[in-house]
Parts: sequence; C-alpha cells; structure tokens
Amino acid sequence: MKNTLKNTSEDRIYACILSFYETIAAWKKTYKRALTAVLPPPAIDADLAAIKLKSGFPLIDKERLALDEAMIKPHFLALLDIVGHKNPQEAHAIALQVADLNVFKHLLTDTLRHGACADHSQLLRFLLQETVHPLLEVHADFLAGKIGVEDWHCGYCPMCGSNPMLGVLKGQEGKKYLICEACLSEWLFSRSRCSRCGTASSVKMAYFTVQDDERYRVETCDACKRYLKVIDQRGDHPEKSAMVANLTTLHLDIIAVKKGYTPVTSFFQERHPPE
Amino acid sequence: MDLNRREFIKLSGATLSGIAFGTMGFDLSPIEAYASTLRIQNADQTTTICPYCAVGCGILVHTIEGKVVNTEGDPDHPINEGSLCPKGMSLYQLSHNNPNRLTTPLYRAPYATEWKEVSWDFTLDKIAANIKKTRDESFEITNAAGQEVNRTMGMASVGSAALDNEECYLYQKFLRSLGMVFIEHQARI
Repeated sequence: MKNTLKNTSEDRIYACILSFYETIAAWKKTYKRALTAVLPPPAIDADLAAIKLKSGFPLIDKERLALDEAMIKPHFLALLDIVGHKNPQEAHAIALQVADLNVFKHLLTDTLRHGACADHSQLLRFLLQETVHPLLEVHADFLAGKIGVEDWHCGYCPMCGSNPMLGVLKGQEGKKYLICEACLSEWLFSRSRCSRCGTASSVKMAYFTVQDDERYRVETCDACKRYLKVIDQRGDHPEKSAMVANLTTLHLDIIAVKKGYTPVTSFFQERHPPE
Repeated sequence: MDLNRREFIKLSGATLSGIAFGTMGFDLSPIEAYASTLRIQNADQTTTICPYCAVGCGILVHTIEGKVVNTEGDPDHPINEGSLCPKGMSLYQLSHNNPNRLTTPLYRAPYATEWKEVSWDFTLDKIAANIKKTRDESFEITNAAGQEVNRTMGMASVGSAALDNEECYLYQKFLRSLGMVFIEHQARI
C-alpha cells in the first residue's frame, strides 16, 4: 500500500514531464527511421574493431561519421517547433542562427565530436544533442549486431565513448549493465567499481536507496564525488525504459546533488570553446 | 543546501531533456519537495568470500550502519559469477539477524541435560585434553602381526571444507603426527 501511494504520488509529479517526453520520443522515432533509411552502414573491419576494443577505444569514430546536414535540418527544426513554443524569442534566434546550412553543419559536427558547448544556450545545447544522439544510436545499433563487446570493461561506452546515463541490475546473477547517455548502448560493468574513476574501494564506494523502495539505488563514489543511478530489474521489479526510469527519478538526482555529488553523465559538464 | 533551478539543471544527472525542462518552464519544485519527504537509507557494499567450502565463491554483503541487510552472489567474481549454492545463499543467516546463531561455544558435561556457555579457553583446553586422553588410550605401537605402526584408531577427522590446500596440508601433518589414520575431507563426501 505504501508503495502504491508513493508510486501514485510519483506518477502525479512526473506526469507532465512524461507527457513531454512522449512527444520527444515520437519525434525521435521518425527521425531515427529517416536516418536509418539514408545513412550508409559503417564499414566494419573485424580485426581493427578487436584491436580498438582491446585497447579501450570505442568503435565509432566520430571524426569520420557521415553527416547529412541537409537531411537532418528539417528534423532539427521540427524538434525546435516542439520545444520552442514556450520560449519563442530564443527559438526564433536559434532558427536564424541555423539558417545557414554551413553554420548548422559546424554546430552538429562540433557537438558530435566534442559534446555540448557552454557558449550555447541551454535550448540550443538540448536541440543539438538530441539531434546528434540518434545518429550515434543508429550506428551503434548497426554495430551491435555485428561486433560483440562482451570483453569491454571500461566505464565509458564501447560504441561511442560517452559516459553512462544509468546502470541496470539484471538476470538471476544480478550483473550490472551500464546504458550510454548518447547512443543508449548497453555494456557489462563491475558491480563494485566506480564507472568514472574505477575505484573498487568499499570504503569510497557506497549507495543510498529510498526507504521501502528497492527499485532504485544511487551509487556514490567518494574518490571522485560522482554518482550513478542504478535500476534493479531483478525479481518482481518491472522492466522500464532507461530513459523513462531516468526521467522519473529526478528526486534521486536532487538528493545526490544535495549530498555533494555530481553525475557520472557528462551532459552537464560544460565545455568551453577554445580561445 | 538549497538548490535553485539553475544549479539543479547544471548539476543534475537527469537526462539531457532536463536542460529543456529548465528552458521551457517545467516546474521542478514539486520534485524537490517530494525529494525532501523521502527517507534515505545509506548503505555499503563489501565483497567477501563464502566461508563454507573451498570453492571460494564471491559474495556481496550489503550493510546499513554496520548491520548486514542482504547478501548475494558477486557477479564480478570469476569463480561463481553471481551464482550461489543453497548454503551460500543462506549466508545472511550467519549475521546478527539470526537469533539462533551461536556466538559462544556451548558445553554439555557428561550426564548433564543442559548446554551451557563456556569460554574459548575452556573449549580449546577441553578439546586438547580429550584428544590426548583418547590418543594415549588407543595408541598402537605395533599391529597384531607385530609390525610397527605407531597409530591411533580411536579418533577420526573430517576436515573442514573451508580449509584451502595449504591449510589442509598443515592440518593433515598435525593429524599424522598424532598417529591418526582416519583422515577425511568434506569435499569428498
């Protein structure tokens, strides 16, 4: 009963955000379908892939990733339409900024290779990353069926090199898989190590849960002061989409941040442009 | 520490969409209010090895304020990869949570009907005395054929499966020095 009440209360709090996410998810589905139709499948060199994985290099080479800015731009503008209506002035400024296809291409390439830039407004950063991530997803989906990453033990994504968004405990053995913040790939990782700094010290590593709710835990590392949310999908705990789980646990983020930790994810780590 | 929206957006581990929430006027204060009502349990996770047998399965022990709240197989451990036998799975019962767990040796004197708690010093002295008494009473220098054997048939040992190879080697050396010949190990049973 307690859980039901809590879930109801959580559902009410997150209803608005989830409704917004549904719109974004629908946009993303259309966009990914379009990308899949036009993107050439990446050439796979099995030997090179094996060397990369063994040496800790992700499979996707962002420098060489094909980008069709003319094809992508309408989808970018469609997303701008969806999210820009609450801030029309800023949306208009962004539309003007990307009017030149070369500028748009530069913004996309820069975000793809180096992540979000602190110089951009939050809205533009959101738009660029949401536009770039499906590109990585499509490539990662293609590679996932061709190259196994079972022997990858790093804390960053074997496909695109991004940081994990959250962890998932699965199967009877309770193995922990990390989910990439950018391409949503999944890879096996240690239960006891910090995905950011690699420490395995039980003195530094700890976690917290909300009382009477075992579904989620927040793993914290006192060596690097980072945290990672982990969903327990074993037993009776229902499987949830990673993105939905991440969105509906913002309260855990608030608690972790108040405790002095910063997320493992790199979305919010500002990158400043070179002088 | 109060978090305003900008700080939260900057620091939070929410999805990228979190940025948009801030930009588009999503009100995060109900979530923050909800977070402040939750009771948090801080826990530690420590790795250990199962004490029961020589297989040496890895186990994760979860503790809250030093008290064990859960144990599970360690999926990172190369021996068991998260799996455990029924004994290993019941390891939780070895902790303070089990009221029937023995914490001191118990002794029932000859002809007594009750067990009583005794010290480790008493226990070890008593075991040593019983071993010496039995060995002295049952020691055979020669067998029925007159051959020299220097043995005792009055005692046997069933070695603990928690002993590793090196410990087993030392243990059987000790037993043979007493003249014991009935030496067995749990792993063979």
